[in-house]
Amino acid sequence: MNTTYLYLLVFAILVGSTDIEVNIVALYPSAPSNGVMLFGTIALSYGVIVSILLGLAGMKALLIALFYQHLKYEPKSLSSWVLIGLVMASLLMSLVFIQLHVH
Amino acid sequence: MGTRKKQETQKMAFSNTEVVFNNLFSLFTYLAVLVGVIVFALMAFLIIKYRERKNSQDPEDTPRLGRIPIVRGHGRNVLITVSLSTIILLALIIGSFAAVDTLLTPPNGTWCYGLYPGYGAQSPLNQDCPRIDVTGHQFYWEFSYPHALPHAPLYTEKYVFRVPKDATVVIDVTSADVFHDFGIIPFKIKTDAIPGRVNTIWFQPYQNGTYLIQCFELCGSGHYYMNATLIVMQVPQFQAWYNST
Amino acid sequence: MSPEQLPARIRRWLYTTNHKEIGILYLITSLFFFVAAGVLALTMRSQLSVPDNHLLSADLFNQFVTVHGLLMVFWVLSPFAFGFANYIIPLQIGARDLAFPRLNAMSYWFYLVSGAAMMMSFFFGGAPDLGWTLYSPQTSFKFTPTIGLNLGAAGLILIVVSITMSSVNFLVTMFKMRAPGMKLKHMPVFPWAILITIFMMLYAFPSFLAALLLLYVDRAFGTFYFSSIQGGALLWDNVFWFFGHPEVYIVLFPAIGVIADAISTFTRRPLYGSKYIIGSMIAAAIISFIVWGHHMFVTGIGLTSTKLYTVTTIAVSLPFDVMVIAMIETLVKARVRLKAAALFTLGAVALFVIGGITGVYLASVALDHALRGTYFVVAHFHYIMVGASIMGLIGGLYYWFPKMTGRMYNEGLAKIHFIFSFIGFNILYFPMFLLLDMPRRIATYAPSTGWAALNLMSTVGGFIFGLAQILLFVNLFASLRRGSISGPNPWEAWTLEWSLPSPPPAHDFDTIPAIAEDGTYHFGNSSGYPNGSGYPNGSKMGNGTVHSHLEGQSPWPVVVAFAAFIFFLGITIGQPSNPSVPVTFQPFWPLVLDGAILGVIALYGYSRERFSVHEETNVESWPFREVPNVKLGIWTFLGAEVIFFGVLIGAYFFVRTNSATWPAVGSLFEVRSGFAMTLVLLTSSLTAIMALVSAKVGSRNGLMASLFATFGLGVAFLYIKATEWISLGANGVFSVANGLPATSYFITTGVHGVHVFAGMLMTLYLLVNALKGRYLKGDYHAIEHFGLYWHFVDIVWVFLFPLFYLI
Ligand code: HEM
Ligand SMILES: [Cu+2]
Ligand SMILES: [Cu+2]
Repeated sequence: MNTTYLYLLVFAILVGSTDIEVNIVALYPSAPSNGVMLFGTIALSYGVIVSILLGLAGMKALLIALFYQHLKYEPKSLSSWVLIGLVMASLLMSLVFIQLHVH
Repeated sequence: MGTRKKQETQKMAFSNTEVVFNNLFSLFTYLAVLVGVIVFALMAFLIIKYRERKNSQDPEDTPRLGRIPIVRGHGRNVLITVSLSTIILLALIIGSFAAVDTLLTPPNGTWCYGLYPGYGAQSPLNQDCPRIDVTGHQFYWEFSYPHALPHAPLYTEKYVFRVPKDATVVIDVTSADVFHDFGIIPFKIKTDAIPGRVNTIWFQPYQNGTYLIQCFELCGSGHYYMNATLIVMQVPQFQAWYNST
Repeated sequence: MSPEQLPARIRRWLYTTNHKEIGILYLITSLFFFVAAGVLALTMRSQLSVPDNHLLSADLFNQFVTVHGLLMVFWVLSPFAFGFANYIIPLQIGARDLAFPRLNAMSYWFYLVSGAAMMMSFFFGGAPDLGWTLYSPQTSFKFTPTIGLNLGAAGLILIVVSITMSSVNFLVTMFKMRAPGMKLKHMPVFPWAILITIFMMLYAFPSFLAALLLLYVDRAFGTFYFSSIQGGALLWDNVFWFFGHPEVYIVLFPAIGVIADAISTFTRRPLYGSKYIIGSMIAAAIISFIVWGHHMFVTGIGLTSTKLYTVTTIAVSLPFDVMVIAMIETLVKARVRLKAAALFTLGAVALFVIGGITGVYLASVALDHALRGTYFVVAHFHYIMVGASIMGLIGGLYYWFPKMTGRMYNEGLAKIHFIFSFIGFNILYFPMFLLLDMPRRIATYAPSTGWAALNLMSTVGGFIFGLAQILLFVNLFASLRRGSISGPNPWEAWTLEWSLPSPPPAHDFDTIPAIAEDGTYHFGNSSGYPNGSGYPNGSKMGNGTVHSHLEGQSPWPVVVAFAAFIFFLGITIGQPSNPSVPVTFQPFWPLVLDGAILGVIALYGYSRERFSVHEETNVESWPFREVPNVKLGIWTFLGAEVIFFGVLIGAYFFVRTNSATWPAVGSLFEVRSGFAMTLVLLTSSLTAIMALVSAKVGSRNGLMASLFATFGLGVAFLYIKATEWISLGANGVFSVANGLPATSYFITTGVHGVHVFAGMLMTLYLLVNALKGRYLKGDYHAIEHFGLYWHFVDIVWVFLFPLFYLI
């Protein structure tokens, strides 16, 4: 595929998922219905929505890193270098959370 | 440890927390001295035995310019070292966990120093028994006692902290301004006094007397004199003092 | 400033980018701070020698205790070690210099000005006076309304910048510029130790930088991260110690490297189990990031957490155990030459054992309920930081002095120096273990406490130790002129630096050395070859070109650092906004502006300067063979940025989970404007990548258009952001004074906005050059590198958007 099209495709996905993010907020248990209701009147629990939002953000970040920062096409040494860093960082973040919540 | 000996150590000690500390500290120190002596003896022995002498020769594998030295060392030795240390360290971890469980879990229900009718020395154990509030200020400690009547204002005193002997004293420590740390030095127990947070510790004083309380976290120019006196009194005296407040 | 106006000798040192000269600068500067901090310490010991003493006021004592700690930890230990690293590591791995020589110079100058800011704090209302750990909330402007603390924070920020630059630099150098055949496993322990140290630096320091930034903003603008009870003490504790524990290993590991290599040299044996030593260092470095809670055992973080931290902390002593045992096993069947350097390094091992064992005491959450905040802790970490680190590094000074100067020091005097240091040290610090009841950092104590005798003893020891160091300086100074000529390899060591003449010529190697499969290596500089001792009969394996020295002079690093210094003076020196109720202070804007302008000019000059760094071909660069140096550097830097933003976001989570209420979604910010900003940034990422595509195909117009669009979208982003900020502020409900939702929003998005702004400056620079027709076809790298940064900034926003607008 022509790289330009690839980049445009990635862009479309990024914008699309942002759209989902914005609209999913309407599904908060008692949110004022200012967004488009995607699933009729289903209300999702707060935790579920937060997880979905963070999941979408993670996916967007991954797309940007893989394609725009072309990690996908870099030598394995570099991409695993970044990966190791990210895994460490997220482990640490989770540790902070454990510490916040385990008493 | 036999009960008798235990009672004796208790008699000598100032508080239950000190007993906990002393026991654990001796365990650590026995092992530390053991390990330390072995390591230092080994080091000294090897240095003396293999020091350079007039006619001594370089070992065969001496690293020399022009060649990366050979790699030597046995994984086995590392394994032995690590295993031995792990055993020692496990003992220390287990001992520490037992000790900290005691230190940080106030016993179920506390003896209310006879302040409330119905809470006696023999029938204590009601969890609702009020605790004493300790608040750090730049640069003094403030102690608030529950009043005998419910909802009556707390009785507050600075600089001096009175408790009855043998009582289980549970204190809630906090701070009104900056980060302090409330430590009763001879009792070997302390906790941080942090604004907006309450940290609970407890102790059982075994001996009448006065003890030094001091702030253990640098909190400003008056930090060094931010201390208070803990007075452990006989129960009747304590009650007499308390009722006079 | 034109270079010609300065006398040549000064100019040489100001403009140098040579790793050896910078190494010397680091060593001298760190020794200067060592003396300064040592004088503070001896004054404190005098104050504490007898009870109820009033030699020093409590205020001054607190300042001394704080500045002493800060100086020793940040301005002495690491720079001392990195002085060696600068000088020795390129020689040891067979590189001609560091990967980015000008960046290296800049690191040094940032280090110097940061120290100046720290020292200046004494003259601006008093130096920081709340302990090197800077505990919150006492650091709020409300409790400490001094410019001195601002300056201290500025000094710390500057040194963190310096450290970050040099860690990226060393990392790239060591991964990418090793001599042909120099596998990682062939490196001596010292470069390994530095490599591992750098990893810890890269992950730990951003956390500290974020903490300092939040602290500064709190103080300057009255935000609430540390002055609120939802953030406050525990937020600081977490972010500080998350950095702080790795930091204590950061100051130790280089010394372990020196110790290990020196022991091998002076015992005449290959290090026993060197791969286990290195493996242990890696293990300890990783674990060091999950033990920080042991500094919070009595903060009430909960029984389960504290037990967890007890286990991790005790576990971290195992790798140290392996290191010590391996070093001791090296002695078996050895031929121990007790030169001064050997005495210092072996002595350091012994003291480290004591420090490590007592660390295990402190790892026990139960014992820590008694020992926390006492002199026992002071004794513990001095046994490690002075006993192991300083003693080890002094060993390194004796070890490498002949290499750096070509002269021998006086061995007898050095041995006396060791004896007095070692005995003085123990008289100084051992009594502190016995003072396990005495609170640390108290200005004086009552006679009734019974602490007087031990304190007096400790003071006596302190003076023995302190005065003994005079012998070091006298010895080295006198030997500079009068020492006997050392020759290239006085210790008959094997590492590559000893194959060069002492001191090595400016260009180090005539030809780059090369290591053959069988482990023999060719020197690369025949003039250094010592007569008849083990020179391999290998053929010439270097790549054969003889380089005249890289001209390596640049005025810009020192100017950039100076501009940063001015800038930081501006933002820290100022007036309380409201003298009667000091809550915030007002920066001194003219100075800020001067610094900023000078900085921009200097950076422009820096980037315009023709400074070619020769990249050797054919070098050993596993595992990053195919990755260009700059790209590796940028990715590494972005890794540090991830931690930095991670901590900012973590702080936001922290205060949010601790707050009972938080404004509902949509009630504060318009989801719409966040959405718009997201679209704008996403589009700018697309244009940035299109710029790269155009550059690669050689379309100048496409490149210009894409860059211009990127710039324009950046403007749009900042415009929407500014409107949002203003409207939130105008509503009054959401000024910075409104509490934590506002605090976290303004700071996090503000820092991100600054990143966007920096990116826009870069696009401008690129645009100017693109106009002149640069970056086309094979010349696209600058565009690519900018893109890496810009996309990263975009990714950050991808997270900030849901975190602030949607949940
Ligand atoms: C065997 C390894 C080690 C263990 C188990 C250990 C354990 C501990 C613990 C638990 C504390 C907290 C004590 C307290 O504040 O109550 C502590 C404090 C400290 N340790 Fe270590 N440590 C070790 C090695 C090191 C090393 C290698 C260094 C430095 C090079 C170091 C420097 C420090 C410092 C500076 C403090 C005091 C921080 C402060 O100012 O409060 N430790 N150590
Ligand atoms: Cu205090
Ligand atoms: Cu630590």
